[in-house]
Amino acid sequence: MRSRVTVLLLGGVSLVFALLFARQLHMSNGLPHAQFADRKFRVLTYGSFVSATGPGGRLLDDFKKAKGCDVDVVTVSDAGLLLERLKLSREPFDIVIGFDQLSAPRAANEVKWKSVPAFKNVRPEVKLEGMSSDFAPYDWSPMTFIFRDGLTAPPQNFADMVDKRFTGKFVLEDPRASSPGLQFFNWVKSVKGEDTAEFLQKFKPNVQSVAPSWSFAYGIFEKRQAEFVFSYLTSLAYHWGTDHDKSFRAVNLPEGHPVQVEYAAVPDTCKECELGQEFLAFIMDPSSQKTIMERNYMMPALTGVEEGTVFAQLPTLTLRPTLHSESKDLNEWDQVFKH
Amino acid sequence: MSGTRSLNTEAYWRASLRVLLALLLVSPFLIWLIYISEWEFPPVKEWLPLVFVSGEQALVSSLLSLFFGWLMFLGAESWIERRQKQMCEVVLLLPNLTPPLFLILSLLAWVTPWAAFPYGLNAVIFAHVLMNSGLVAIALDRLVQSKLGGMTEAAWTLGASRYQFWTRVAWPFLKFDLACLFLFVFSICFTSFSIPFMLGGETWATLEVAIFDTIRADGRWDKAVILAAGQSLFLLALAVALPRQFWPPRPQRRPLPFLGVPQLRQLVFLPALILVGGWLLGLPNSFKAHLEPGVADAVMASLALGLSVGLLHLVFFLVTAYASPHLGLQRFLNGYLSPSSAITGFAMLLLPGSGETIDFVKLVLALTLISFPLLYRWIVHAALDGLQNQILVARTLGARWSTVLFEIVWPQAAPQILRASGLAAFWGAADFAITAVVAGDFNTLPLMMTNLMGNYSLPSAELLMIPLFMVSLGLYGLFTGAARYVSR
Repeated sequence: MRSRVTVLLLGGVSLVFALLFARQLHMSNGLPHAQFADRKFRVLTYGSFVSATGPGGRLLDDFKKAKGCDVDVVTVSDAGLLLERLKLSREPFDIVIGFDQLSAPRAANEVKWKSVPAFKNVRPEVKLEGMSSDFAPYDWSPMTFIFRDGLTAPPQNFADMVDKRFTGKFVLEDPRASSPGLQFFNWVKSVKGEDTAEFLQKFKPNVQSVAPSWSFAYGIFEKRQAEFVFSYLTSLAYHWGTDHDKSFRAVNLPEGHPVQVEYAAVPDTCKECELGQEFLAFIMDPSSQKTIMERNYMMPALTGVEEGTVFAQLPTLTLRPTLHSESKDLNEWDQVFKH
Repeated sequence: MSGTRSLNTEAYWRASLRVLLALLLVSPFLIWLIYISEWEFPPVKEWLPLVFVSGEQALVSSLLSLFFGWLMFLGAESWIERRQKQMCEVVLLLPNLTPPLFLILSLLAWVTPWAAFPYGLNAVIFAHVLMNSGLVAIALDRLVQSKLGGMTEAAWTLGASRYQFWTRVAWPFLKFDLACLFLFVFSICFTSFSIPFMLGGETWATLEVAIFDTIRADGRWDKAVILAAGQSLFLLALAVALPRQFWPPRPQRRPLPFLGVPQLRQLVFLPALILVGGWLLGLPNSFKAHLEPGVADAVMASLALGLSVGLLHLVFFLVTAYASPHLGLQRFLNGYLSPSSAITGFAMLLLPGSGETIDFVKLVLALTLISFPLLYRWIVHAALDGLQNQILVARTLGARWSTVLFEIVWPQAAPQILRASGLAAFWGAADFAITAVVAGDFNTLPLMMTNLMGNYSLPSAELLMIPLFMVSLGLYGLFTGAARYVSR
């Protein structure tokens, strides 16, 4: 019996090694020997940025070819966990990609960062007041409700959102677990001020569900369980450009809309700081900006990149300054949605 | 003399293994204990309402699971043939064996586009009942077969009604076992993370979700670890108070048609039908999508991960079997439930070393720490417990502990141990909660699915359900196949 247990364990371990080896062989297939360089820098980002359809893979490949270096990418499922992953990692990272204006201030307070150069032709929309200059904005989008044409007519203004014709038609993200969710809450707060709880109370019957993440909320919307989803204006670019479906529209409210800006930064503890800073400059290059725009479905941080693309056809929304830090005060939300 | 010394050495060795195993299982807490320098106890108003909400959810979920499980048991007992019985068992267990991601996607597919899914507390309770009622039905079958088998027939012969049987025979004999079964289901529902996180809507249906939120929004690891430790201690105390088996080894299975209710026969299939039906509904949408590049890599990564998790479970089970029987270890393993995915996952990141291979090892360890206590309690404990008399006889006759392990325990308990390891492999390959924290660059199929969902590619993500299911089932088949090899 002992020999059978041994065979079983050894056989299993051998199979694991064989699988890992085969995977490594598969991943390195076609790569020239020159690519296995000594210099290696570490990137921390969120999963969908480097997914098969995201921009990260292509950008990193191009950068590796250009600089003759290797790269180690570490991902977290949720951009909200980037800071915790950075703080708890034993091995330093050379660049972090994926903070937004809500998480960046806490990151700026709790971790020391290298300063980054001021990039040229940066759009005014991404220059948010009070944001640390150590964080380079690399893409952005106004936020609004996305809907399909031909269903319930969209709200005309903020007050209209509580109308009974929208009962059970909106899907939101949870502000505690999702950055877009917090954006929505901050948006309501900036428009309604002291009347936030009252507004949310009236709006609640119109909310079909509060999803834990943007991707879940958007899945609900795509499966037609809700008619309006709080999302990025640039979601239209996906539907119009990639899906070739022009029936999707964005709600345009006269009160103005919040904006989501994504940032990259180089931690002060970096090991290959030069490569980190070079990669940061690389993603701010117009051609990289185009890749980010087309594969991350976000507006580029530089002017002129979107010209001639579907992004140039997106409607222009009035922007409204909202809170730029993670507000811990979700009392109004809790009052309405937790009871 | 040398024989006595070797026996003493073996005793020390076994004692050390017990301590090591216990330390390894609680290691996430120990790591945080070393790492966190300043502790702040979370104010009562922050956590007490959460305990009540979690408790309410878990209480309703487990009571309903017991009720529907009982109905399913009554339905299952009216299937008489051996093959029908086996099929019933597979069908009843399917929802419980299914990784949460599969369950959630299936439920979401059902309600599209005709009706909205009832997100919130009700959705969480529904999913938990769907998951656990089949398990309850089989546990009831085992309890009745092992404890009331003969009495059932006697009650039937004496002309007792079903009502009389359940109130006068079954209840007095089984009430403590049922309490333990309730506790097991309660623990699963109380500590559940993925289902309440995904389906809970605006409701924090469990303390686990609140713990994750404390980490994500505030980065307060001290508070999160205190909450997780409190939760583990609470469940451990409950389990110590109710130390009976809810999943006893089944003696020779006998049909109990007296208890069967033919009108409830089809109920046995309902949870599995809901689950499989959801997958089938989602398929047409998936076929419109195309497989994204990187699938082969993700398949190999998931296979390697699942296989490693299964193997590490096998090693842990062998160590446990070698170090057993021991009352303290048994009570600890039957009551301890690992801390949340985030706490365990991030604790692994604090361990020394990094790089792809080390991250992989950490990931395998984290997944094992999470599912080992549950699988031991559910499947392996009964198998080991049933051998205690044989072990006692062997030891009286002077057998060494290693001989006991390889000549008595392993030949008889191997099928259950390998089945439990196979389940761990199944869950490991399909995990996305811990993998997302620890994996680094290790791209598994579930991670690829969640990333695709985050990039407007929901149909492509749904399409990946097929290879993921094949990988997970293949791994489970590998371990159950190995069970046949070793027990030949």
